[in-house]
This record gives sequence, structure tokens and C-alpha cells, in this order.
Amino acid sequence: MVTYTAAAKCMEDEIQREFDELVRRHYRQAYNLAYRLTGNTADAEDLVQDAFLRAYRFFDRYDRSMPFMNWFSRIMTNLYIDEYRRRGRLKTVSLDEPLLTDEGEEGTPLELPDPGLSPLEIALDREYVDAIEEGLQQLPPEFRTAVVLADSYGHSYEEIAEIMGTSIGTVRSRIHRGRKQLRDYLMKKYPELFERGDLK
Amino acid sequence: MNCRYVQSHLSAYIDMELTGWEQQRVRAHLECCLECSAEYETLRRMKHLMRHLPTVVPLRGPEAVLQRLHRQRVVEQGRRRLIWRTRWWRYAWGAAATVALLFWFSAYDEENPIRPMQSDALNPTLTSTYSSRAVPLPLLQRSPNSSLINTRYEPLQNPAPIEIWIAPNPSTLYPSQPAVMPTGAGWQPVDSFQPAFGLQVK
Repeated sequence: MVTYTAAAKCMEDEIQREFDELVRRHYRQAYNLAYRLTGNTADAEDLVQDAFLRAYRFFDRYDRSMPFMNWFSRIMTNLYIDEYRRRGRLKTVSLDEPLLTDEGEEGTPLELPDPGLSPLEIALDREYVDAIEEGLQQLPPEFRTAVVLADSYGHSYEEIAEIMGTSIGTVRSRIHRGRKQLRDYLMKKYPELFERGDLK
Repeated sequence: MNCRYVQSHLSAYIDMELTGWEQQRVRAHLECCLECSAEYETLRRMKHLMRHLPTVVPLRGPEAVLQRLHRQRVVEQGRRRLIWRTRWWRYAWGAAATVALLFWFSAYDEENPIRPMQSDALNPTLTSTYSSRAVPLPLLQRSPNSSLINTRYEPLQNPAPIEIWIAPNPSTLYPSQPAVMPTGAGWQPVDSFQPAFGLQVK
């Protein structure tokens, strides 16, 4: 008995090829977000893989007019938050993960008349990066997701609301509270982060 | 505009997510309130730090994901075929079992037979040379209390008298199976009788 017609098979192949291409193109970005959410390499890799598998399962619901990363972020953050709830609390971050390569930011380099450390240099300092990542892990997953999406990825509140499936008001309060908690945590540990340098 | 309101809206202010009017009012407040502007500075610094977190480079490429995807596809395809193969037969078996059950429960009932018995010895019939249509005797009609599955019969009430006609030369004059019983043209009624139960016709 013939179960698939040739056309259906051909279409399926086409879809698979399209999805593989999307995986290749967005893998780094996806991994970045996963790393910011989970805070360590192993969990980030797991999260990325699970999210891509889930995305593939629901790929027929993907609206092609929408950027893939927005749709995918939604899947990943939901997966992450669900996972987090299920497991209670994720593993703690190991600070001596030899993961980060200090790639120069392609963002605007700061030129400061001030001879002290510029905020960018501070931000790129390994110790502080670790501190921020540690601080992020202290936040509830919803707050962390909102803050990461807003600050590291520059999404608008509207986009975040769509990604997280909540209202803009909720997003606003999550970002505000998350940012404040993170700041309090860092201020207690590294007050110098908030004292030195000038922001551009 | 008080400090509490401003402080709860500081993040939105930093992210430029307030309306133009609100944005202006918060800015005006920040210019004159030391406490709020200190809070504003630290939150802004926080956002700045977050934004300049270095990009994390994955240790491995997307190959692992692609491999898992491929494996899942193979598994899925196998499962789909298996489901198709088994499901089709399962439905057929289910249908056959249902039909068998229906027959089982509507078993033959001697008082109310599903069909009247068609044995010549028990049910004498009147037949004509011109028609293979047989009139069963005793004449039965469908009983009104027969169910959907089990049709019951009862004797015909006040049956019309059956007329027997004889043709002058049946083999030559008429086709073997006339659709309409001809009248006239040499046909004569020989007899007519009221059918009754137990009547035997030779």
C-alpha cells in the first residue's frame, strides 16, 4: 500500500531542508540566548537542541512573515521556563567554565577622556562577566528571560510580550524588578561596577 | 509626579518604552530629584553592563542538533508507517467484529423470524407461467412492531382476492414475461378465490 504520494514526500524533504538551513543560520544566536538563560555550557547545549527539536515538531505553525528568531525565542524561553519549573531549580553555575572567548564587541567602542577603566572594559573583564552571569542565575526565570531579551538582545517590550506570551505590563514589571534585583546583587558584591567610569 | 511613580517607571524610561509625555515628565523629575536620579544611574549602568556582555561562542557547531533532527525524522517516519499499517487492519477487524456482534444479538427468533421461511413445502406459492414472481401463501405483511434489524411479519389483513386467468395460447401469443397482465384478447377469468391460511394450491 502506498502511504505517501511522491509530491508529499518531496514537500516534506523541502521543509526539512529549509529547517536545516534555519538551524545552521541561527545556531550561534540561539546558543547565545540559551547560554544567557541557563548560565552554563552543558545546559545551554541541551536547551538549544531541545528547542530546535520542538521547533521542528511545530514547524508547520511557523508564520514565515515573522522573523525566525522571534518565533524560536518564544519556543526556547517557554521550554526553559517550563523546564525550570519542572526541575525546581537549575544547577548552579560553575564559574570556572573555560568557555568565553573574549571576542571584541563590534558595538561602539568608547573613547573616554577618563583614564580609568571604561565601562566597556569593565564589562569585558572576566571577573565582572562572571559576576553578572552569577547574578542572572539568582533571578527567577521569568525575570531573567525578560531582562536578557530586553538588554542583551534589544527586543522591544512588545516583542518580549509576544515571545513570552504575556502582556506588556507584565513584561515591564518583570524587566524592572529583574533589573533591580540584579543591580542589588551586583552592588552588594561589586560596588565598583556602579562607581567608576562614565556611560556613553 | 512623585518619586514612587518615577522609580517604578525607570526601567521603561531607560528602555524608551514610555509615551512621549510620560518620558518628558520623568525626565523633568529626574532633573530635580537626587534620589531618583541616583537610582536611574545605577539601573542605566545595569542595562549597559548587560548589553555589553560578550557574545558566547558555542564550543560545537550545529552538527549535534542536525544529527538529532535526522534521527528523530527517521524514527518518526518509521512510526508513521507502522501506525498506518496496523491502524488500517485494526479498523477492518473492528468493523468485522461489530457486524458479527450485530448478527449475534439479532439471533433468529422462531416467533418473529427476520424473514419468512422460503421453503416450498411449508409455504406454498402461486406462480404464473408468465412471471417468475411468486405470491407466498399465506400472504404476509410487514408488522408495524418490527424493529430496524428484525423485520417481523403478520398475516395480511383482508387480502384482495387473487384472480387466476388463463390465456388461449400462452406460448405463442405473449412474450415470456409480460410486464402488464393483459386483459381481453381471449383472456378469461377461470376462478377467483379468497386466500386463506392453510390453503394448498396444486
